[in-house]
Amino acid sequence: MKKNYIIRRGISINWLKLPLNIILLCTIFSGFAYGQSDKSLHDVNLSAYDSMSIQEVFEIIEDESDFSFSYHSSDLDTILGDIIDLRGLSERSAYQVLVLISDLENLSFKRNDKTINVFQDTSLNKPLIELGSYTINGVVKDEFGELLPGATVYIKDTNIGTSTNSEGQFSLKVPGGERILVISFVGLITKEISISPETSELNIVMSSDIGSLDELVVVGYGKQTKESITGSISKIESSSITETKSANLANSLAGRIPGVVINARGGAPGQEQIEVFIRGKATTGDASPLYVIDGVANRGSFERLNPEDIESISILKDASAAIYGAQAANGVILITTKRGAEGKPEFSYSNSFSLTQPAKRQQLMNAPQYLTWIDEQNARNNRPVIYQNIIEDYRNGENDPNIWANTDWWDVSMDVWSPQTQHNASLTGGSENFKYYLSGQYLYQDANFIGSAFGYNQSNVRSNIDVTVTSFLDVGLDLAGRFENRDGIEGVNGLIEGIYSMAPFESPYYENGLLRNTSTGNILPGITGLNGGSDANRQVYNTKLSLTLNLDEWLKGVSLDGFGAIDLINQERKVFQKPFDIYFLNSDDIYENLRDETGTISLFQQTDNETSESYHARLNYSREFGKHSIGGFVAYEQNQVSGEYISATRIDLVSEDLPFLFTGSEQNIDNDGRGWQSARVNYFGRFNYAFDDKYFLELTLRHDGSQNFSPGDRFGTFPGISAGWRISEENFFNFDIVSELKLRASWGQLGNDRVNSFQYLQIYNVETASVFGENPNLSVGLVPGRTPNPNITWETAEKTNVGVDFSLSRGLLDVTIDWFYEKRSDILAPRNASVPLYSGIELPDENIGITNNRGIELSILHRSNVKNDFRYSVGGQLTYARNEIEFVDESPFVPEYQQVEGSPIDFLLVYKAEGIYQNQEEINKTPHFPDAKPGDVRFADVNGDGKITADDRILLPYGPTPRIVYGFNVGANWRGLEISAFLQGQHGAKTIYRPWDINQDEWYFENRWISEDETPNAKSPAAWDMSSSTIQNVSTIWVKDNHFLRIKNVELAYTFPKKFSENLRLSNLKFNMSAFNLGFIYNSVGLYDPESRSDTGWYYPQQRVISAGLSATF
Amino acid sequence: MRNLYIALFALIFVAGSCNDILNVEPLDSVSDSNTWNDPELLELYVNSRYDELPHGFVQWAGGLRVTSLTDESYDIHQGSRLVNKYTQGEITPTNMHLFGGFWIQAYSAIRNLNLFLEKADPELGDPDRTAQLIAEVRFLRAWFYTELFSRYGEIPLLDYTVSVEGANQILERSPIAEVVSFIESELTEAAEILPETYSGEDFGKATKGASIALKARALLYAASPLFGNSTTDEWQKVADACEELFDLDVYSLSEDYQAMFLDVQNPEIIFFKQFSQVRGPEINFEMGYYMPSGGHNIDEWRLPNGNNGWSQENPLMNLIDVYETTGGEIPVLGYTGNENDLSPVLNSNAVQYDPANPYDNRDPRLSYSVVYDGSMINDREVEFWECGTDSRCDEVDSWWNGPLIDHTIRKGLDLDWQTGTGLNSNTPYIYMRLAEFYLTYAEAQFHLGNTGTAEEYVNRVRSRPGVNMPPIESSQTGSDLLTKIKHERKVELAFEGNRWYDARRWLDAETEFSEDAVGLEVIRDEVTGDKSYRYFVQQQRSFPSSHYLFPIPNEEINKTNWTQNPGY
Repeated sequence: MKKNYIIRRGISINWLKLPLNIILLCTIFSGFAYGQSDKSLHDVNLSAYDSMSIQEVFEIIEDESDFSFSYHSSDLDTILGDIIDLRGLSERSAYQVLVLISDLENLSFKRNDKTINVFQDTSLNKPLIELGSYTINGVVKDEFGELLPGATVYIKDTNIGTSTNSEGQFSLKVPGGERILVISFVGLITKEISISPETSELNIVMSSDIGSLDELVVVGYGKQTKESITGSISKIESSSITETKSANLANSLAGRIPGVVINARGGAPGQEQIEVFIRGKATTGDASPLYVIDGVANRGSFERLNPEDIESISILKDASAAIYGAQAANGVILITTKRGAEGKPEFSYSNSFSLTQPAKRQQLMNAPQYLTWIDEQNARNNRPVIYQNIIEDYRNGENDPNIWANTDWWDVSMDVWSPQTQHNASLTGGSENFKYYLSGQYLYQDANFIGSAFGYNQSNVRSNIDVTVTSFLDVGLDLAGRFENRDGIEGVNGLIEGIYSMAPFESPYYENGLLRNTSTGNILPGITGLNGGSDANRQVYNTKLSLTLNLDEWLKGVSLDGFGAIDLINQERKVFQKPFDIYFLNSDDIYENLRDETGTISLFQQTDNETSESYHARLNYSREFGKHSIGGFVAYEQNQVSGEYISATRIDLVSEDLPFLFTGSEQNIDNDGRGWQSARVNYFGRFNYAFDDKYFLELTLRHDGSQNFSPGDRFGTFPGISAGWRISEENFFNFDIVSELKLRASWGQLGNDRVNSFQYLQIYNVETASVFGENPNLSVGLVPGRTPNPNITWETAEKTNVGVDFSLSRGLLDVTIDWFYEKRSDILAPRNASVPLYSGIELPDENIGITNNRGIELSILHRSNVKNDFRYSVGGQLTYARNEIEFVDESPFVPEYQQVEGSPIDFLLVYKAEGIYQNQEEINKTPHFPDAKPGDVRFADVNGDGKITADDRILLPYGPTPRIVYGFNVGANWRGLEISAFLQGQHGAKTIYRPWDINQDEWYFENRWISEDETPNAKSPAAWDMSSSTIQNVSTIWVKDNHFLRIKNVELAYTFPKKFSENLRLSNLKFNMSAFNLGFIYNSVGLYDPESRSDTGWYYPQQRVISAGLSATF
Repeated sequence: MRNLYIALFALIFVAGSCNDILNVEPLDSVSDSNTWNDPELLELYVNSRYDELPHGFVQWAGGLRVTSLTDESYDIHQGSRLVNKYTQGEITPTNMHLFGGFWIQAYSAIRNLNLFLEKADPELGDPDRTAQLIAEVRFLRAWFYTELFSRYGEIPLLDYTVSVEGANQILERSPIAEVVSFIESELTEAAEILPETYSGEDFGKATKGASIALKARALLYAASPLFGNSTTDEWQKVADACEELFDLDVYSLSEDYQAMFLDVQNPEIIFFKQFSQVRGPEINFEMGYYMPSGGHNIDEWRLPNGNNGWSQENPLMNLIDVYETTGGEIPVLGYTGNENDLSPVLNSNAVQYDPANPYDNRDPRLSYSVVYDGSMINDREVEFWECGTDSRCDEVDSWWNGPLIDHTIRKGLDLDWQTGTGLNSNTPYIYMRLAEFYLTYAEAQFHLGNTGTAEEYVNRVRSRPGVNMPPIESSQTGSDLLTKIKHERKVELAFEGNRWYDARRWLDAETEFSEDAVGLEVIRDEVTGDKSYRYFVQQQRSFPSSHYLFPIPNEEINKTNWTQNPGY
């Protein structure tokens, strides 16, 4: 009795995404005929035979029992006739005979009820006979209690599986022994449960992947489950990061993570000037956090990583960062990239096509407004008023536009929309022993300027490979390369400044199309790249080879980790200048070409390279003893950086087409070059203890040496301690609705060694000096560097944090609240304020400053699925951080109200404006600057000495870094249609906005003071001369609050139904549209982007990005 | 188990041996021990100290293009340079950043000089050479103190470097007499060591003559009414210092007044600074044009528009009209009438003066110092009339750099300077030349009662070849002779930076710098080509007595609690 089942074999199956047809196939073997096992294989006696063919064995067993064999005849054709000698067997039961056959012929036998499947399967390591079995029954629900039909249930490392029925129930025949059951359901976190023959009916609850308690969180040097975390650590997942189509990764994080203050200070492609502070600024020194990418500290420019490569980002905000010691005081940002997982190759491709524009566009004065402004300036300064007739001509449309144009220099310089494109592709998969993640990204951002002379190109490639060499040795190799090209970008802020310096009555081109030589230097040759430009290329290579030695076989719970990482950064900059045709209509009505005045062809070139080497070795221990679980490690790490640059300039190049130095003149050659190096050495360890998943304790200690300090003062020790208590796990806690209630507390000392190197040494810089000689020549000279401070050491932060995690079941509410207090001492600052200028001393930094920083952060999330196919979530986070200077070196005779002690770290020292002078009488009655005129700012005589002096300035306790940042996100998902929106806001920041060039925003014109009768309530002073006290002395009239709530991101996405995508041979196909920086709900600055901190508006503006894109998985 | 031991051993080995990597050295600078133990590096150190010496061709901080602060000229960039704040008498301790940077710059330079004097080992290398370096450094330090007291009055005097620990101790300001006596003794000692001349690569460093001349200048300031008591003793010191300079027999008056400002090897020049045309490595490509990153661009700033210059500083009629006629008479004595159409008050004795051709028959130094309508530049006639090559044309032109008064400065300009080369100017800056000290000597001798000697030295300056002005009348009454000496100084040294110091030390600034700045417009008849001239008030000016000294920067007052200079 032969059954010629077609048995699929030799395929590697990705169980996590097990296609339905395979599941069904498995159930054929396992799902039927749960009959009584009448007669076991042990009971079938073959002792009558000394030898027999395999085919005879099968037939006899089939005859003498209820079992039948199932095999693919072609597999066994060649061996069925083999004669087996049974004489060596001590007991000739069917079982033993099959074992013998299995050994001899490399066959495996699997029993499914009464059927014995015969495989000649090389994918199994060794012949296997699984002939005892038991049945496991269960029901699968989601966290809201909904039954989940169609969930996949299978036994790990086998292809035995089933799926749940319409009641969410399953029943599975399990081959003998302890096994692991894997339950998966699309959109929910895959769950693994240990089972054994003793396991009773299972009740499985699957949770969704947002905010799940079971998830692993990357922490310093390891991963921990969310419930075991005792510090204040926030995490953001790849899905939230890629929702935003900004090319800069940091932009995608702003407002999304409690405790992280991110402000985009500009928007230049590839050079966005993003400030990241964890819990605000806590020091008057360098307040930027430490970035750790894939376990390697100090890897820079994380914001340029491919967002699709990011697996997760964790932020260590309190003593949990103490494991990073001397560099951790400002918090640590851990970035983890994706790695391969076992399964069939999965190829994904996504793209986005975007249009970008300034999120806030300035409107400058037009020509007649501007000429009026200038004439008002003239009149106020006793200069002749000269433009009255011209203004009249403009009014009547009689101006000669070839001479008296009306140009909006923003319009002629900037495109309305500029393109941005992104393409990402990745390939991931692997077998048990070899896993890979390969990816590539291409990004192009055009600058907003007309034409495309300026832009940013970026390519990222990454290969993360994991190899299991033996059962105890794993090797990983990460290779990542990034190529950044900034075409013209380094000069963009200057070009924006140029737009403000253009007179609107001049046109960029004469009417005959010739470029016009305008009075303040036409900006268009710069905007269009006609005069040359800069080209900067940067290549970043991150490499890492890691080893994990699992010594569990020899010493239970012990493993050894190590890595070596070598990073290279090469940069090349070229600044090329070339002459161009520019014309001037002279008094003889001739267009004179001024090409000769536009310079000669010249080239500046600079090459930098830097190498950073990091080595790490770590001995881990982790073990459970009953309810006690103990873990920890000791580790050593070192880092060395060295680099150098070389630069050269030549002028008078022979041709524009050969932008290389060799074509330049031998005269006036200039070149330069120098090197740098640094090193760090670290010893550190951690100890974790947990009892019964209720009580958690963590201790860390780090001993760091930094080359920034003198040999005797190089090493510092940084301890941290934290503890957690999961009240919800206690027996006395009887609120079923509360799924998690945990208290956390931490304390630690951390360091900040972000200071200039070698401050303990007196150094002398080599510079060019005076020209001497009968044949004059530049001499070389030595200039003393700063005065040394041999006692310099790191800044110390003492951080305390208390937090609560609270969750209601079924996603009803997740809340995390943290309260923090931090005291910084030994802040490095020069004692300049009290040291007279005549000392001539450039004081070194000394460890004198003391500040504190306190606040709370809060995050709330609510999720629900109203119906099975509709889910939504609403969340928000808020951070409040208030810092204060406790001690700083202060000028001894500064007035009390200007003293910095007790004020926040960011403050403004400005005159107090008391409105605008309406007439000369008011001026005469009040103290004023000598040049005060009606229409100027009226300054308050704060100290009442009858004069306006620097002592009348007041200290405003705010600066550009906000005290409060918050964000709201809402998301909903209905049958593949997803919508999400994210709002970002801030409060408690102020910035000086002082218009400071030839042309200003129209607002200043329209709101200016003209006369007592016409504009008694003017908001802005009369047309000011740049030398007037009104503008020279910054007063509160120029200070604005930076409060805003902006629609940071809106995304609409649609995932095509499976049926549709499968027809296209795709496993997933998604279309999305998104808008970044869409608009403001509230903006207290009005005139400018409230995130700018430029007091003039001369910077490349923050961008609005409207995108559409597709992503497909094959 | 053995594998484990090997792994542990490897870990400990790696960990135990690596603290050495922390011993890194800076790779972009020279260490303390190298600097002070290598004679070659001592030279390099001193080279950079010369670089810190401010010069009058840059406008910010230490260098001060003071000509437009005086009645010599009007700067067309009033607002952006805050020049108007000064000429309107509106300088305060907080708006003086244009001028205030010098305080910090000077004291920082003084610290670097003091550091050399403390660290340099006289026995190192060639002792003569090292001694000379030390003398150069003492000369430079005296230079800064001279500049400081002449700008700020009483100042703290430091001949040592302040330590980090003692940095916040407050010194008092030293009396002028103490400062001057320090300068005097330093320069006397330096002069004993410094060579009279240099050749080859050292040419341009401080000489014996420079040291003596600086001493004469400091003593002159100290003797003058602003700071001194005009005692015989004080003036005798000035005269002695001048004689010491003349007795060196190194210097003589140049025979080409116009060319000497470009020729630092001529025998009149005592101390100067040379420049390189090479720009620094930064190219400002954003605005479409080159901007210098080091050195200076004085030629572009001062040349007329027809030479692609800016005509930035326009000589005032207040100065031009006092250049004598070839007969030795000042042609214009003052102005009357409507401020937009002034009438010059003509001197009836100035018979050679023709108001229709005002630049004819004048002291030749006028045409050497000023570009005016009709001047010849490289065989080109300068056109300052409206819409001429060198002037503004209509309202749109008011936005361009160009003269507001139809003159620009010629003295010391390189007329062959080319625009668009990407190079800086290498016009040298002349700090001191012999004629100044002839006039200083005349002033001292006048105060000592030796009017004959005084007249003689004034006449030496007037009678140099190429100038050939008639001698001043002898046996003048006292104050008239002093007026003559002052006049000669104003004309001979015009635009060289002396006027600002001189008018203040004479206490004349309050009246003379408060006079209206008078401008001139050249009007050309389009039909006949005839020219006429309109005089007008370019700017009303005011010089309060507070402005005789700069205010001490406000920041310094907050640190020291010193009394601010009077009037601020």
